[in-house]
Amino acid sequence: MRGIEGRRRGSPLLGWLIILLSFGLAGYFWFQGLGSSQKERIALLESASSKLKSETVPIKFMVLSREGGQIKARIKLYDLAGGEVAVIEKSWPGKELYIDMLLEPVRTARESKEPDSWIAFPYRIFTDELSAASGSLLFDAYDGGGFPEVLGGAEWSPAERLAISTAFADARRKAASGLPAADASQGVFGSAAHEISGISSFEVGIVYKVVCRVKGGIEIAEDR
Amino acid sequence: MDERLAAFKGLLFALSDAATFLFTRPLGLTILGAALLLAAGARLWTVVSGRRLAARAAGEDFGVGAATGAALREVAGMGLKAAGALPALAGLAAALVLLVGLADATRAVDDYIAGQRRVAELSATVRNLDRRYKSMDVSIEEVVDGRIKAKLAFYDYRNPQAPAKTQSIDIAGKELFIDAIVCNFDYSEISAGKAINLAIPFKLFSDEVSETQGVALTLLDDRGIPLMYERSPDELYGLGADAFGARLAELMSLLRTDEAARGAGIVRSLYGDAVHRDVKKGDSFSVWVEQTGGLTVKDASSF
Repeated sequence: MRGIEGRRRGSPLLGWLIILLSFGLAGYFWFQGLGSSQKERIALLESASSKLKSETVPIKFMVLSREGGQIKARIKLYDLAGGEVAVIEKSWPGKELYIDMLLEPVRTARESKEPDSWIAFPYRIFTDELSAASGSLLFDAYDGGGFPEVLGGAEWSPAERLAISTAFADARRKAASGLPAADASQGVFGSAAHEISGISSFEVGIVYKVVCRVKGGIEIAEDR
Repeated sequence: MDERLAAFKGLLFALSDAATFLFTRPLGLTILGAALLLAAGARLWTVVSGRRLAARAAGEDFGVGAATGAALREVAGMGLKAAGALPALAGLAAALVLLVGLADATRAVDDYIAGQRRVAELSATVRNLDRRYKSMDVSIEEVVDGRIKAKLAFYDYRNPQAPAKTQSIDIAGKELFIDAIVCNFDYSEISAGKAINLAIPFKLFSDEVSETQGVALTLLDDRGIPLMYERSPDELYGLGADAFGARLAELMSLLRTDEAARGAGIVRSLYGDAVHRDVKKGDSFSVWVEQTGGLTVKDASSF
């Protein structure tokens, strides 16, 4: 009987130690979980930030000369892996060169109700003096059997390839019949980036790149 | 207070790193073992040398056997002393474990605080880059006999809720081009909220009318500042009219030449961008300035 009473009393120190240890362990695992969810959030935000900035460069160009009211330029087209697809060298009347891109809306996330990204097709070259309708169409230069080669060099699923080829064929058909390829009913719009005399001119002999952003903006920057 | 805390943390981390290195890393254990062996060797050497000197002084012989015996006795003595010091050594080990634990916990808390700071920075970056500002609205009133009649409403990015100015146009063609000067600032400027990409619409043309024959949008005042960026003194808060004018002129000088923009070092690109689409009567769309760079066109109903 005395023995049992002795065991019942025991030492309270051990109990406190176990409670303290349990709290310590619980705190450790809680903190670990907090740290891991924080790391996931940081990775998610970094990915969102880089996605916003993500870009493709389907065109690089260099003005070769500006003589007699003509601009002579070399235009190079590239696929998504940076491989050269076509080279065009031509002269156009005018002082300001316009590089026109066609932007097709696409839905990259299944849950998005509206298009959240854009695919860019090089469309045509014109100038301040040459109307867009009289400009040089670029579609033929990168047509690889119905698929736009500027979008090659990436892993597309058969369904994605078909959707891209269909959009490309539609744009080609409209442009060939003299209609605007920027079909607003499909959410398509054009963006002609260009130089502005007296403010920002393309220097002869300098290579510039046309940067197409996943958000839909087109930007011209020096290719350093 | 911060300096004292930093000094304490520095000392704590240094002690923790040293303990971790000495007791867990192979090199640390080797160094520790070598030091102990060296100390034991030195002790044995001292004892054996002392005994030899004492034997010589007493005129006794001190051979290899006597030296080995003295050394073995000393080793046994050292073993006994170490056994006696075991509670103290266990206490030291427990203190070291506590020290390393405290240092690791402090580091984890520091990392968590740094992570929270990073989350705040990235959230601001994504929020600012994902933002867009309306540059103009276009309402197509009529498309008949190969001519487009439209009404344009221009917005100031500081107050995108209401148009700053409107203009009606009539031009030949099927496709409308809205030409703007676009100034994209460095991502770091935008993500830090210090700058906003700008677009100033300046001309309108069509697929059939070239830019030189297009319609000028009379948006610049005699100082070369777009009217949409002007403000009456009553509208300015926390900034005098002169200071506002000076800031505005400084900003507009960036848009006058590419060299000025490059010289400022914060402008990523400066160029013209003519966004365009086919139009029909009743169409209504907006041109937006994307903070990642460039312009986009979206139906007014999309927003």
